[in-house]
Amino acid sequence: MTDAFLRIENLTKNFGSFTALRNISLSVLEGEFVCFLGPSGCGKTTLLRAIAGLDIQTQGRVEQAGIDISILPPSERDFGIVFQSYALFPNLTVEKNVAYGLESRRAARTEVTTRVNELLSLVDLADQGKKYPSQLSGGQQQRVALARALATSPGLLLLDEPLSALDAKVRTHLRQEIKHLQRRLAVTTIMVTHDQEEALTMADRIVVMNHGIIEQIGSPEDIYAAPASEFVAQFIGTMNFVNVVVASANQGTHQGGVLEFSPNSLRPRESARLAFRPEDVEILEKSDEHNRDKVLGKVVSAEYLGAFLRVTIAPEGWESTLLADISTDIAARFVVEAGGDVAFRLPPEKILAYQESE
Amino acid sequence: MAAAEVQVRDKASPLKAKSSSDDKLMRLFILVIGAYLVVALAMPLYVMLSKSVLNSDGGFVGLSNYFAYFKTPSLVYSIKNSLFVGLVTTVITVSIAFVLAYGFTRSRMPGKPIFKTIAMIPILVPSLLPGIALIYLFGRQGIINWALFGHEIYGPIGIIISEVFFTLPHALIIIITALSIADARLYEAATALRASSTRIFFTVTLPGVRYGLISAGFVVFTLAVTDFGAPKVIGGDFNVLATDIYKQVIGQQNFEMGAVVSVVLLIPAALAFFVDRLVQKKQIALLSSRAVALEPKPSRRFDNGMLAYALVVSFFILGILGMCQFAALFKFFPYNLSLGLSNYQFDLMDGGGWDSYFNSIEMASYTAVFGTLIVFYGAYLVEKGKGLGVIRGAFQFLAMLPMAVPGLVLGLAYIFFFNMPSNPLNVLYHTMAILVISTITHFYTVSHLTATTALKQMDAQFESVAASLKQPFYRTFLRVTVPVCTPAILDISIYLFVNAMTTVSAVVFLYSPHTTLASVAVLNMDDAGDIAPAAAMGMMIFYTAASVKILHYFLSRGIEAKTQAWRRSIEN
Amino acid sequence: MKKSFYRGGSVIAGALLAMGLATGASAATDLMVYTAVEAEDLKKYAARFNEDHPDININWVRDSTGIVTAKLLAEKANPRADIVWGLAATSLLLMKGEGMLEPYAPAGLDALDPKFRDKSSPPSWTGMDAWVAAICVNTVEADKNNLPMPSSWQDLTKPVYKGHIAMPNPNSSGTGFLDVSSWLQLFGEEGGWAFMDKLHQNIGHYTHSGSKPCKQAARGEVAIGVSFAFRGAKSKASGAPLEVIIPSEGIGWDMEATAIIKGTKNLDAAKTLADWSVSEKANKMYNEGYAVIGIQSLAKPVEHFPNNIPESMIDNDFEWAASNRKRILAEWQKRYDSKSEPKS
Repeated sequence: MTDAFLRIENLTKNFGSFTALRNISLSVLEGEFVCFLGPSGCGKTTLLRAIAGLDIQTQGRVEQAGIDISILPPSERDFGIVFQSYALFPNLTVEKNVAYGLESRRAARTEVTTRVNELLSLVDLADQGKKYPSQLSGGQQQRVALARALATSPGLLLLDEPLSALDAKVRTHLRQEIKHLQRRLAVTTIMVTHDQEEALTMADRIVVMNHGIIEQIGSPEDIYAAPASEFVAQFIGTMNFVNVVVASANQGTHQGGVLEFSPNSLRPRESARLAFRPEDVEILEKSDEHNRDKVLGKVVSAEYLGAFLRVTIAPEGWESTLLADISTDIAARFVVEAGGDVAFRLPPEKILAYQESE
Repeated sequence: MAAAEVQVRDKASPLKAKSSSDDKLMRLFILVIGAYLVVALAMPLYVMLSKSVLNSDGGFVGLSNYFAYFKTPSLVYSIKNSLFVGLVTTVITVSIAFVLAYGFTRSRMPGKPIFKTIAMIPILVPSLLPGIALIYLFGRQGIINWALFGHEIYGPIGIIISEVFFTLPHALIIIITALSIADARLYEAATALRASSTRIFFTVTLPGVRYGLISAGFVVFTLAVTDFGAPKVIGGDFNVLATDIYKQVIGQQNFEMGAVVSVVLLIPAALAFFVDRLVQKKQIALLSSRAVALEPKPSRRFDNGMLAYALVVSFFILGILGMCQFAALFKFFPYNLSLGLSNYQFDLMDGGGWDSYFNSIEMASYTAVFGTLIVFYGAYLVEKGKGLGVIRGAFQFLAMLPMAVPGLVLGLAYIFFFNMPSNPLNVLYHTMAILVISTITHFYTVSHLTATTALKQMDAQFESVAASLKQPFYRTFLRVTVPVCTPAILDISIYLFVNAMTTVSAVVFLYSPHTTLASVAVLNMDDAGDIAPAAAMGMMIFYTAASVKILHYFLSRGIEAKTQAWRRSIEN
Repeated sequence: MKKSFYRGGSVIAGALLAMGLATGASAATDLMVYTAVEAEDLKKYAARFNEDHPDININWVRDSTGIVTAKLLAEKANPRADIVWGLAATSLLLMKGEGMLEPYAPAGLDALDPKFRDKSSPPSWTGMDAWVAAICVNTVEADKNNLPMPSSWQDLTKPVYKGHIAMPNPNSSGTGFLDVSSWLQLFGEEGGWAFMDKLHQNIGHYTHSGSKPCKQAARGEVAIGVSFAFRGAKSKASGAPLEVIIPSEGIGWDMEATAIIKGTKNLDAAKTLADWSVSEKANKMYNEGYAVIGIQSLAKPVEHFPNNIPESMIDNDFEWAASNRKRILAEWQKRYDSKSEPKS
């Protein structure tokens, strides 16, 4: 923790009687790419603006590069920022936009020009410098905004939903470009997004937020494979849930019988929610007699999604249906089709248990 | 441990951001601009209101001035007269404007731009001018006075015709806007349901513009009730509130009673203003909904009908204007109708002569330049400023207030405030500066709204980006905000210029022998019976305002062409 | 150029709310002169005066007699005028009563007709010229409406003139006041009001200024305007079909007069102007428009002016008029104000 580049301690933000952020603590390492992920209203943008000093927190401490910046105005902090709306100055050319932060720093004109050209080629817009923002596509405009934010070589790059205004294809492309750029420049970056795919593909670490608190901090793999809370489980990817009553440290009962899950600290007779991902449903031979975990069910519907089938299964005796992602091979081999029978098992090590939330 | 203590202390009081020098500068600017409105508006109004409960020696007399007022039948009668003129004008103007706006938006009549331009002409002349034309048309020697069938033009008839002329453009702008936001899909749906065109009109068209009509109604009512030019020129013995203030203050130097009448006049104006604000909000809600623009379909009968109607309205407006021009040129109406320029010898008349004309141009120029600076910067600080939220809120309120304050009331308030021996600002009394300040303040609200609208359309993050790039706010203001808002800035300056040229109400109390104004000269020449020179001066004002307007048109076109490359995105 | 720079400066001062920048220095003395002299004569008066005294700059504040009077009274505590040049003697008498005038005997006082000076010594005011009431009749309109030519005040109360007469409101117009005060003197208090009650029936409208009824008559906007002889003569000269009538009962009149305002900061310049205002040169200048002037021996006939003016002028009791002014105006307002033009 000592070498954290950005350290946030006990940060709280109130808007009148509404608490937007509740006692947030968080560290970001130098060169790291961190995503604040959460549904709208979770406080992620508020946190970003507090880090930038644009909306100062009610309480708590922000430290950047070992300096307490908690109450500094934005102009005395060290960051560059990119907004969803690009916020490019419409009456200035691309060059002038990028040079905006450089000019008044009394840098020599040739120096500025060199730096602007360097930045523009960095974002692949070397030949667009004389154009006005309105003459560029959305993706190009966002790259200009990025170049402008990076122009002054800030220690921290803040991205506020930078890709949300773009269409899907441009978004995917720019996602990678930003990631590469960030790697190359090794600039500590915080991005706010509500798009989990964006977070999973770009971030070194993801901070999942909800209702003004941090639900989980972890690598994309951690977050996906081991969601720390039911909220994270539900928010990231697709998840099946089954309500059970805990029977032992790794067993729960429900109408359909007993389900085993990975060991947990839940106490017997507590209500719990078991969660597993559709791709973890293991299809079995219907006639397989050896597998004692085997569950029988009916295929309610099957949706063809290219590489795999998403199948809705109504297991015998269960109160709810579940989703299973099955490769087309397997589906063919085990004859999984709408209206037919199916057998499957749920590997206990892939089943997570959460205490039932109120 | 120390950290824990800090934590505890922090819990008690929220963190306060350290201010950068930039923030401090901005706060200073906010304070300065706030002080402007306090001095130029709030304090004068306060002094005026307090005058209405004082006697002429400055002693507190409670409401006795009001009792005295309501015990004077001729004064109270004016309330009735004002309401009558206001209501009748409102009904007539809104009806005429609605049909005309309907023609402009729902027909394919030819020549729309020309007719629209003609309909805007009354904005360019002082409200005294139609009255003068009416005397020539319908007075005892009037060219077509038979058309009144023996009725007297001096009095309510003359006032109302003048007010209709004067208020028509204001109503028209509002109603055209309201009609333009109509959603074509509603009409398609109604047609698909086989509704008759009458039914469509009453179930789709009218409900769609109801807020526009209400808003136009209140604007017209306020203008008609608070206008002083028309009743002054053609009111005859028909007294109204606006002329009563003038009569009390200028005629009898009875300032306290003038203050009382001002308060009485303030009530309907303020009421109309607040209702209008309320309605405008709903209108804006309609505006923001996504609508498909309505393309009128050609219909020969309807289009021709609308064309004929537009011709009639244009004839009325141009007729008034043309009559004034001829009135100015006739050597000695009605006995010598040969034309000449003898009525342009203003130096031989009351009102300040040609000096007053040049004073007016000077005053209008200062008003345009300083007014635009103050208004735009004020709007910028309210809209984009940081810190001092309470003061910015109060500023926004003050900026809206002038709309509800009739010019005469403002002018009287200025006399009270700026002529107080104890007020160090009384050096401004009788200077050009006080005319400029009063005019800027009088026309503050519309200018402020224009600026605010333009600023709201700008990306809210510009200031954050600039801060992150460590650029002072004023640099972004000059390099980005001002260039992007140039069209709005030009609009504001032209609005201020034209109004400064034509206004009479506030400045009539404030001009000095050095600073006589053309519009006031029209008034004073008419007062002295020199009606033809009054018409001549009125037309000089018109030509000046029109030239500036034309200049503005070409300037805007030039700027638009020059900035076309980057403006496209804003329009999208 | 210099003037406009000065104004520019004051605008900036206003905009920045700075004080003190608005005061400009100038070598010549600026004299604030309040007057009710006809607007068309102001430039001439100032120019003639400046021929002899180029270092004194006259700043006119002109309005109708009533307005100027009211303004001076209203500013009593904080006077802005230095001197009054061309205001009704009745108004100046009123101000003398309020202690607002600086007594001064201008050089050349002795040449003035004794009627044309304040009785006190030194006098508080000195007269310039007399302006006398008259009736302006538009002959074309009179013919058109079959109106007989009136020859007396009483004629005007005949029903035939109903709606055809305009007269100035005495509350704002000095001419209006001299009419009213002369009728009260001619016909007695009761007879005067009775006359005005009947006249009121015939009045089309009351005007704000004393010259407007005659100007309206000149344009035919009314047939008959109760105004003053000077205005009638001027309008006639400019080609209006007017007859200027001196009613047989006699005519009210008042003097245009000069007085220094007590407390002026420019007393010397004010005295210079006061001296000049009684000079022969000034009197000849007055005579260009007015038949009766302060030094009557210099007077020459004025074109379009009726000849019988001097003998028709009533023996006007200015002291009485001044001391009863407030009462008369209040009474008048009570009786007739509803027909007044918007500006009272």
